[in-house]
Amino acid sequence: MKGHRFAAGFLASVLMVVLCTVLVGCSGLTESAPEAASDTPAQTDSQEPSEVAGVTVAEQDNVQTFDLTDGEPVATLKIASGSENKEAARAIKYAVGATGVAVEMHYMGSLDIMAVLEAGGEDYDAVWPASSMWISMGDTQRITRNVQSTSTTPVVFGIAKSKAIELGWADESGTTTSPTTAEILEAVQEGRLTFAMTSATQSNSGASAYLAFLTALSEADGPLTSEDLADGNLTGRVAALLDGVDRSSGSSDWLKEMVVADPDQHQAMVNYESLVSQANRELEEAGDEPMLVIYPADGIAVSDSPLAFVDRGQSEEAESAFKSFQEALAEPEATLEMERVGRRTGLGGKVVHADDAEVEQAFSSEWGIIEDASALKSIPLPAGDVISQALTLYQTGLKKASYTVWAVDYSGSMLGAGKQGVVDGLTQALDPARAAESMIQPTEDDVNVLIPFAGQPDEALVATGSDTAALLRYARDREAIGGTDMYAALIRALDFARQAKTEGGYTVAIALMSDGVSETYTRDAFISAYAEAAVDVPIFPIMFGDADPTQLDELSSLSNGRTFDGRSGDLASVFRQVKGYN
Amino acid sequence: MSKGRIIGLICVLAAVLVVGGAMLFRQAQPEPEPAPAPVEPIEMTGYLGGEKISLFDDPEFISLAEQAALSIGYRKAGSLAMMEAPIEGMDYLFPSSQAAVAHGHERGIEPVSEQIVLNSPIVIYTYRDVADALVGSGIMAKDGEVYTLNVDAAVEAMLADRTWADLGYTAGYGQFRIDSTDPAESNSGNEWAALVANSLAGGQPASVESIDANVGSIRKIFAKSGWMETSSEDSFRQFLTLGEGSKPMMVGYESQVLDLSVNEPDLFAQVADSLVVAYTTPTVWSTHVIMALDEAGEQLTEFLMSDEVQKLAWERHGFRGASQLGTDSAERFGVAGIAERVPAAVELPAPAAMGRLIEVVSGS
Repeated sequence: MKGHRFAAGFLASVLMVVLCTVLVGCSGLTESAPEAASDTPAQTDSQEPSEVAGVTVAEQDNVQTFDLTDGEPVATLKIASGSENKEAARAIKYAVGATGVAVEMHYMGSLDIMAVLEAGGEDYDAVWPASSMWISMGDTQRITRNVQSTSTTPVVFGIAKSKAIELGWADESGTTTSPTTAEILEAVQEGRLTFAMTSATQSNSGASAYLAFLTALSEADGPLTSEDLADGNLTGRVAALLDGVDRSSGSSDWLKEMVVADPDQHQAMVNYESLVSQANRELEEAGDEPMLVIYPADGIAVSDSPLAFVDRGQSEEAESAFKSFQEALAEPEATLEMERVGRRTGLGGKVVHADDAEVEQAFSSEWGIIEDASALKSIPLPAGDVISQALTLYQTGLKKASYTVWAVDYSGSMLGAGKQGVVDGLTQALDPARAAESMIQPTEDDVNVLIPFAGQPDEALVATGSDTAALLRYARDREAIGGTDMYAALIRALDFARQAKTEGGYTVAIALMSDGVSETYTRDAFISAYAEAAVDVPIFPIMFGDADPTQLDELSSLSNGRTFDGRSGDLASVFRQVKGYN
Repeated sequence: MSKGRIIGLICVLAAVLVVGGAMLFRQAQPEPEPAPAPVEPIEMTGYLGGEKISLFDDPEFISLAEQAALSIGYRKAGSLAMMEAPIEGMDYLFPSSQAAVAHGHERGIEPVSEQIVLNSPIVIYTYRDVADALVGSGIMAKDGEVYTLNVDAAVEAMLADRTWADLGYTAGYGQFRIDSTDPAESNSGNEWAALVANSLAGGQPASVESIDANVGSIRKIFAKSGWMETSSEDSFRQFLTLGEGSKPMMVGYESQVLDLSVNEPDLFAQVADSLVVAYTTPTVWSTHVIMALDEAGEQLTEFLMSDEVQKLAWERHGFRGASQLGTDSAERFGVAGIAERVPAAVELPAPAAMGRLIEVVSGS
């Protein structure tokens, strides 16, 4: 009897191995081996607690890889994630160390995550957006399973303490009042408040805040409806509130970094409570004034950060690796790390490790943070079709108009693939029909300026509204020939940007695309011109070909912008991403 | 069919071939020793409603099945969706409502037998301060520890656009509403819609005519929720995660909180003092009917009806048995306000009326 059982067991094991081989072969799990970050220097955090030792984190572009320092991981999960999860790195490290499951975090906007699901999950094993609504709206094919919230955090206003006191919403001790959304609108209309906020069509924090503004200002007591969206009075008031936006972006995490890098210029932002908390930690370390968390009395939306398995026919191993990773994220060691960066992990928004010193600091009442969950009174979320309509309305009518100057390298080395990438990129970003697919289409008030350059900048071409055909034709027809002097082109771009700033009513940015090392004859002239202009205009350099990262990073850091890397991936998609930032 | 699906199908086929081949291989092998032949487990698979997966995955359930020489596989499917899915090779269907069974019959599914094996009443989940505040309004009532929610009063208050504050819950934001899953997708929302429709029909089972006469009212009530989840599990999780400030009231199954108390005691402890389970008046039950499609399916029915499984389903997952009672007192769960006996169910609208109701809520 015993012998028979043994034989049966052995046969079963063999069977399992064969079965697994077949199934793994079918899945994309083996394809997602962590190669993406292999050429970047890996850094190991020496401060990590002993139980999660042995996890190495590497980062390249928008991919962060968590792998075992020694040995092979049990499996590697490829996760499409919101950028705010960068702040949860220590919790992720714990879960990777505890389970031996490596993860690749591919950071992207909420809309992109929704698109991943709509497309059948592509080659992702899991999605981790900031809110369940993106899963429910995107998962029309019913491919997600085991959806579980990892933490919650409300979308709030973070306002520099002195500014909050000046507005009458706080006192010296950090105790805040909760203004209504109508009162916030009033402050904006009186010119007393401007704020940074992510794009509602690119990022969950922006979308949540925008839906909350609409719901609160509708004063209807219920969820937003299609009829509300047709009400000109309501949409007019929301547009007036959005006129207070001084900087936009496609990423909540980057928005926070942008504010921290220049707190004098940016006194307020709409963002997650957890990211205001993180910003404050960095601000205080730098000796700057912290921001206070202001919870609008009538319109909060809560991010519930759900992690879900994407079932696209991978092996059972992929799902069980996912489950063990998910379970480890719910263990006290991981939830402690989440709360240390200001996320709430208890049910109903409770903080469960409140007695930990770092958690106490993260939820500091001196920053206006109300640890008690009663502060989280959220709006009822509208139905899915109303959300879609509202987002389209944002992009085509209610958002503040953007003014983008595109300075594009047409030097000889751009001949061929480089120029094709640029033309495709501009088309995806500016052709109304193509851009609508990514919800970055131009509004009637948007302005786009194209300045092709080589050794000298060309004539600029200005396109107003959605009529971008002439600009795109100009981009196609310009020949790639000559040397590279991006600074001369930037001087010209700055003239346009400064004029737009003076005119008012726009968020203004310069997108600079270059594929080579620039001449530097005009570098100093540009840098002093930028300083003299004294305008808050970010430069978003797009790196391509043999571009010099040092030259480009200098520009993004000078202007509090961000460098995008188009060298390894699809250049056109980088243009699209840049447009999502303005 | 998407590329992913095709690849998935190829994988499944490949797996079946490998398993089948290996089994043939195994059968062809001589027994390694002349011991008495063990009982070959009967392999079976079928479609299972998601809320019962925790039971089917329970190690004790699996071990009981082994003892009964059964090897029970499943594929997760919604109660209505499984009736539309291909049933070739399936031994059973295990939806969570009679309405789904009726839908299956209409689609030409002819099971060899049908048996109600598990029951769980539909309840309204809420929080103590919300429930207590609403007692004065006549919507909630409290008898000892057990709360009930009067569906007629709730429907009336929603139609009158009462706010939470109007009804006594001053901390509430906006209008009084009861969230549910999407009635077109998920059983708990579907049964809640039936209760609402019955109430609007004056307490009678709603008919196509009465539903057509109340289209505006039905839509108005469901529009108050705005966003609706498509799965009862997801919506219960959202209720717990987002809490009172976002989700003051949510339709669910009684078994969900009982399962939580046993299987996730730490999580349950966070809400043990504040969570309220309110039984609806009148009551409606989620009825888990096993539809056996063949001999193996019938074996599963017999197994599920066994005392051991009925006891396990109650003790560890909170499902009441075929009798609508637990196998012992509900006190075992330590969940406040669980009724020992829940009154018999109202009659649901006929299948045609249920169909019309789903159309109305979906906006067609």
